[in-house]
Amino acid sequence: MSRYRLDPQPGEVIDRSKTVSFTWNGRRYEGFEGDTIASALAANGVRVLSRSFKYHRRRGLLTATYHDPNAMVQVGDEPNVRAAHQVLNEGMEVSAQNVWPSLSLDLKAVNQLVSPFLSPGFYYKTFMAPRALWPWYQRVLGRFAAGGVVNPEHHSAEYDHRYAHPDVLVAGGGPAGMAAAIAAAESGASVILVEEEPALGGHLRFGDDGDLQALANLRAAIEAQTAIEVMTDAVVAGRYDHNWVSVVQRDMAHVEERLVLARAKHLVVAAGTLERPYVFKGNDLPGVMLSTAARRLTNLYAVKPGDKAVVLTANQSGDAAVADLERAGVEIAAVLDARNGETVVEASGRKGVQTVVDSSGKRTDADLLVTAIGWTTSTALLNMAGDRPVYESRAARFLSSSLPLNVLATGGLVGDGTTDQLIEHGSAVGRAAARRAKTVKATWQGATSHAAPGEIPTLDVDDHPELFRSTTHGFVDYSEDVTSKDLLAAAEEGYDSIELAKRYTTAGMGPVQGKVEAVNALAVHGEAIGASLLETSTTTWRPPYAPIRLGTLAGRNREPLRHSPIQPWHERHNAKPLVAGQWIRPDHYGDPEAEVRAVRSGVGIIDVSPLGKIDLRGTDVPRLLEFVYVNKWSKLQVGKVRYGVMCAEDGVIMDDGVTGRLGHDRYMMSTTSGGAGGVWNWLDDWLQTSFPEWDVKMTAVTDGYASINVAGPNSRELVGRLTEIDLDADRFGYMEVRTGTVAGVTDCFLWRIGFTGELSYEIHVPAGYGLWLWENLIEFGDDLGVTAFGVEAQRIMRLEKGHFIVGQDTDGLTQGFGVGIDWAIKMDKPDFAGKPELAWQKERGGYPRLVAVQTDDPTVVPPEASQIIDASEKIKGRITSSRHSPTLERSICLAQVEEGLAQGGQRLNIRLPDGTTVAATVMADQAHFDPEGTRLRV
Amino acid sequence: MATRSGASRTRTTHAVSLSVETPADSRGGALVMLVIVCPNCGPRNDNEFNFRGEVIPRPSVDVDPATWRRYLYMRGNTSGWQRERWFHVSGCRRFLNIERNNVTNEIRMVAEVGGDTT
Repeated sequence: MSRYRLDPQPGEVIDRSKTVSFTWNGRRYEGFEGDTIASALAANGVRVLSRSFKYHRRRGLLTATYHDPNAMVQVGDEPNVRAAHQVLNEGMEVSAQNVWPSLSLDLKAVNQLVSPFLSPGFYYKTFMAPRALWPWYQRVLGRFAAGGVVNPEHHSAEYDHRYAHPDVLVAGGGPAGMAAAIAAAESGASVILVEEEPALGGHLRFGDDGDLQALANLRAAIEAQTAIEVMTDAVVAGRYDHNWVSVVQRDMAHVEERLVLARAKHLVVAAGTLERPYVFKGNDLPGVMLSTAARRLTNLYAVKPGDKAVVLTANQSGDAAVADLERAGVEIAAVLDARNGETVVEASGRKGVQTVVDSSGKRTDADLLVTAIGWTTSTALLNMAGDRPVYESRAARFLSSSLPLNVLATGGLVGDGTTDQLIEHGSAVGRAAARRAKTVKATWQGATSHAAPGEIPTLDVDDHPELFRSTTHGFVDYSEDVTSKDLLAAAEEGYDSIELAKRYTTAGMGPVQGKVEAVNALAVHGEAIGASLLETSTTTWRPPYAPIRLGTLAGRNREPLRHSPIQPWHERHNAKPLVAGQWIRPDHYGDPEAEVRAVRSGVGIIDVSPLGKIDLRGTDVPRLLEFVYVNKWSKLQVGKVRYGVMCAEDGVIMDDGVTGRLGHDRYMMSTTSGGAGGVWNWLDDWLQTSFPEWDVKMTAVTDGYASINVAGPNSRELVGRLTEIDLDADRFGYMEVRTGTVAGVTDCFLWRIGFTGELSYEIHVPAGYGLWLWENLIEFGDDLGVTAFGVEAQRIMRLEKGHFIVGQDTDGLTQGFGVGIDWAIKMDKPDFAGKPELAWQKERGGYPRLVAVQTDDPTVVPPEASQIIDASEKIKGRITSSRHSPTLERSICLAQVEEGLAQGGQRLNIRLPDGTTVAATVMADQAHFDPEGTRLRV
Repeated sequence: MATRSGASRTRTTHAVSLSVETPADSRGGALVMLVIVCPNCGPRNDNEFNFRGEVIPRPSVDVDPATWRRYLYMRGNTSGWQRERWFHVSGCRRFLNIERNNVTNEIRMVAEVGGDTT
């Protein structure tokens, strides 16, 4: 066993019967189960864990916690692992980051020699000009940047989300937090207790025998409470409105991390305090550490942190460290008591501390310098709850000042005390939290009475000397290598607000995010501008409190996908999938142009199941249709369908589709596939908020029906083989609807419409029979050459017919009169959605028009969004749709053009992406093919 | 509240922020969330609802353009208590009138739109 591993300690968390081997920079080491990476390295006498960010100075353990700025390492594929938090696992491959070529010989340490030049703003000032060199600067500086190595081949792990609904959530599992959880549970509340460390206990874990006994009692009480769920190695990352609390559970058995989204009826913040480093020359040398770090090493991991120590103490924690070190066999070379005005001026040494100079000028040889000069209150969650913690100079730290009714603080956030006093305060807070949670629950169930919040006892604060910086300069921010000198220089240069100085020097912007350095930065900055901490007010902490992986925020992929019931056939026939919103549709089955020819010459079928379908019943349906569509509906007869366009209140086209009257009080509305949800909500909005007296019952049935369009000259023959419905052209005409049985399936409805420009029947069949009907159509149409066609063929055919697609040929500014549907807009209706804007549009004129355009060269298909320009190259419009038409054997387009260019015969120039221009002509009719619609009416 | 700096404090000379600047975005519905007590469904997270904003009455269709466009585009942008409309789109699909303090996010009234023509 290494000479740094002590004999068994009363509170140790290592299991000496289980050896764990790992490598550090390629060399094999051994630790015990329960060790962190850092404690195992310390037990092997490894003192240097990293090189610093800018100057590449050697760094060792400082806080020995998750937030240790010097203990970020690479573990296998994973960079930036917190070595003082991560528990050691068998076979771990651990290495130092940000070193080249190695940790012990880091050539980038030459930065130290030029440190006067690496003053704040160095990069801004030095690498400003010339601009042409920016890419080169970026490459060279990138090599100097800190951080580990990301393996792009690393497998993507699983991350979970969980929703929780505790009555009380306690953030922090020290004595006060544990007591609060116990008391809340005893008062009947369900409790989640969250602790960042791998075990409950806070500072009791590395305390004396009395502390350990108190901890054992608290743990036993928590064990006995089934209403408490304990989450260790988990951190509360944020608190949002109405106590929406995010908890990150790390290092889970089956997922890398889990994000718990908890709606806590009451929140208890017991985050405690973090020990604060002291600023003096050499304060970052390996061997300079906080008293809590020294106590953690000796008491939790039975590691001797050094051989000969100087201890600077201003409080009980420093005093306890002296006792612990003595027990561990460390020679105490000197104790400097800050309460008597003694302090440290400088630490020096080559690879670590060798000599300490105190304020009397005395030099002491030591390899360990332990400081205990005060605390930073962990106020992040309080800030997120709206608290503005106030600096209490008597206690030399910030304390909570005011909180909303659903948040309480206990422990070090509000004061000091013996373990018993902390437990007593935590218990009172826990009882109050349970009481208030009950009030919240009652309010949610409709109660209006607000119970009195109840008195919360106070906790006294201990006197503590104020120590921030010695008479020398040292590091304030270890992660970013920002010194007290840098902060003074920034103030000197005019950065007299900490908000500015922070950004200029980057203090507080490194991985530790201010937890270790914020208050020292404030104090040093205050010193520079002549303001006390009381005057500089508080720090504002924002979520997340601790790093969260992006995968954790994302959770598992829950993106919904929608398939039509005919999807299995499409997949069997190699349909190329088209992602259309949530729907996956067949784009084509190999050759869309062949599909077009098959439809125009014979018969084809397309799956149009994603079409929005809304069942409307009631005597006032015509009034609703009159209101939401621009055209007229009051005289629609049973058995008829009509095409309609919907505009929003600003007159902009929002959707289109056909609606049919299936029975006396029964209508079926169809919408575009993408607009189905929006139209449903739009109708509900009007019905509920403006016309609640109307008799309209609405049901969205998009998924209830599979829809198949049978199109082409032979469609009547094909559909006729599967239904008794009379399809005779005189008795079932264009724009009519029939209900009945198709392929043996009852409750179908068919409408005869023609988006493709051919004779066609759109059959809507109860969704469960969609595949059955499709396969029947294929089978019964075999001798007719029936062909399945996809969305692409349909798009070509509708373009040949000049039918616009909302959102493709229209945009967010296209009002009703811009698309050639003037015949449909009925301004003599008393009211409809968007009417005033449409009236003004018509009156105003000058709006773009949608026109059919053909290029002179029939082989050129201008890409969609190509610009239409005039002789002086001014943009006059754009191509909105374009395809090669297999029917016309030439290119065809729809385009939005300025009013003056919209007449048939108008010559246009289209600018192609390659910069060349192609001449084109506006067609007299919006339809390129069969403008009279004779093919539809056969 | 967590997004506001300490600048409003009277004694404050230097508002301080030494932590991450941007609060997690609410897009995707993950982190910023209110509880809305739906009269039909009970307490629910706000990502079940669709926010429709201030309640703006629809003017008659024969008004002048300025009045119509105030209805379309102009909002009071009150700081404090506001009467607003929410749509419980992933719940009971009822439109609700809600009184919410948009500074504190306190909600003091939730009711179904009851035949009012606003």
